[in-house]
Amino acid sequence: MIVVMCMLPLITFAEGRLEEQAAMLQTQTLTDSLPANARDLVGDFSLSTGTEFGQEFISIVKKAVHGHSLGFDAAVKDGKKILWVVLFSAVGFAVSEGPTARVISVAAVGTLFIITSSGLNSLVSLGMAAAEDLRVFSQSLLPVMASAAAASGIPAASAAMYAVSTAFLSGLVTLMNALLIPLIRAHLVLGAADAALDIALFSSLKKFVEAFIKMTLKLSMFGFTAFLLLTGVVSGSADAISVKAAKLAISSVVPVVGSMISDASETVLVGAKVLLQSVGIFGMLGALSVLILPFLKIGLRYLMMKISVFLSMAFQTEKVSSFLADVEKTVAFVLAVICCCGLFVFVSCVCFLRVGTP
Amino acid sequence: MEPMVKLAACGIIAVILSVQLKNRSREMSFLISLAACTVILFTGLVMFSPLADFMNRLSKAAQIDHATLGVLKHVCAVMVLTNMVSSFCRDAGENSVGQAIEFCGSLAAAGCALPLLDAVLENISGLLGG
Repeated sequence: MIVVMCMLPLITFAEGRLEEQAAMLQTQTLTDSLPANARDLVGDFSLSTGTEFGQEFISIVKKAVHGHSLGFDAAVKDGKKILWVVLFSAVGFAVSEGPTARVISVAAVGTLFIITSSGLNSLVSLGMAAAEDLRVFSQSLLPVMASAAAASGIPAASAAMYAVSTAFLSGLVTLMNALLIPLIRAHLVLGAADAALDIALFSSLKKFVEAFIKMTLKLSMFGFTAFLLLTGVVSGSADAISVKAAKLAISSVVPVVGSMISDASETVLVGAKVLLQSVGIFGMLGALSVLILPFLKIGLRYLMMKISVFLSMAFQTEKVSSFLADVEKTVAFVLAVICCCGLFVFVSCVCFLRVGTP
Repeated sequence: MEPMVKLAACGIIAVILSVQLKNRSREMSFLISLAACTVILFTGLVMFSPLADFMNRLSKAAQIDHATLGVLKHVCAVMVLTNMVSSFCRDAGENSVGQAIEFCGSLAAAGCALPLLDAVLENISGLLGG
């Protein structure tokens, strides 16, 4: 009882300290930097009280699935249109051969291009908007995380990781807008040209574009992860040594109360670490809430395209299947690009948490 | 199943008769095969009706825009007709007529597909331009 009575002021002090630190780091700007949709999904998450990541994660996914239109009807409608074209062209292919079959395949691919391109264009815009929202959110999140990490005793690592995360995420969003999205659109056009005209040049160009997009995404992801981990580990070790050295110096140089001052500084560091953890969890949940709706919408389209490819393969419409497979790949590329942006933010948060709370 | 058995029987009888008459009267042989093809085609159209019904239901459910998808219908119809008529001509030994029909069929199909090509080019410029 006496111990509990003694602990109460400490707990109150710690909570007050946490709120004070949260106000100093301007954590309120984090919620404001989220787009309205994402803010609704995150709900009333409090940085000072914190919450369990798993529960919030499930709650966000449930809210996204139940409370928003994921474009299921539009996807099914497009699927039916594609099935109609596949069936019609299959009937046409069954009674024609040679040049006549070629003309039918050109008409079928053209029709499918018109059906899929408008939907794909809106998906690309959705992905670009999500990536931009994520960049805006990360511009608020990463400085707060870096400040919280610096306050918890890892100034060098936090500065280095902040620089790497910001540079890579901005770089990826710029690369996406300037190069990847135009290439993804060009991939769809090349796929249609390859299926309709059967010219080797289009096929080679299409394969080159595919390989380039895959390689760019892989390289940026590997480079970012490796760079961030190495920076975090190397600078984190240096920070840990500095903190230990400072504590040792304080406790040995200052007589009598040296160890008490050293322990008190440890309490402040622990408070900052708790805040860092809350901000890190909020960062991951915020990134999830920004990406979940575009991810589900694009993922649904991807599944629909996958089913369409299987159906068209059953009807043995070779060129039509090949074009649908290209559309499926195009949707997959859009999905991969926004997942890559999301992973950048997730990995940054995890690295800050990992280095900040060893 | 039953209509297909009847069609198969009709096809075999027509082929036997046509082969038998080929050496005596080429004209009769050709007319028999033409008649058999017409009968088989019309019966085939009746067999196609369940699939056509399904596709109609599908087009209603998907609210298909007939301005775009109708082009595919026309192109398929033109090309199937072209293919059949050119096959008849070749069977009758008139290869040049068959080839001319194929050429005209391709031109007619290209004419039908022009609105589709317009729409495709518009979409491509929209995709790559925006």
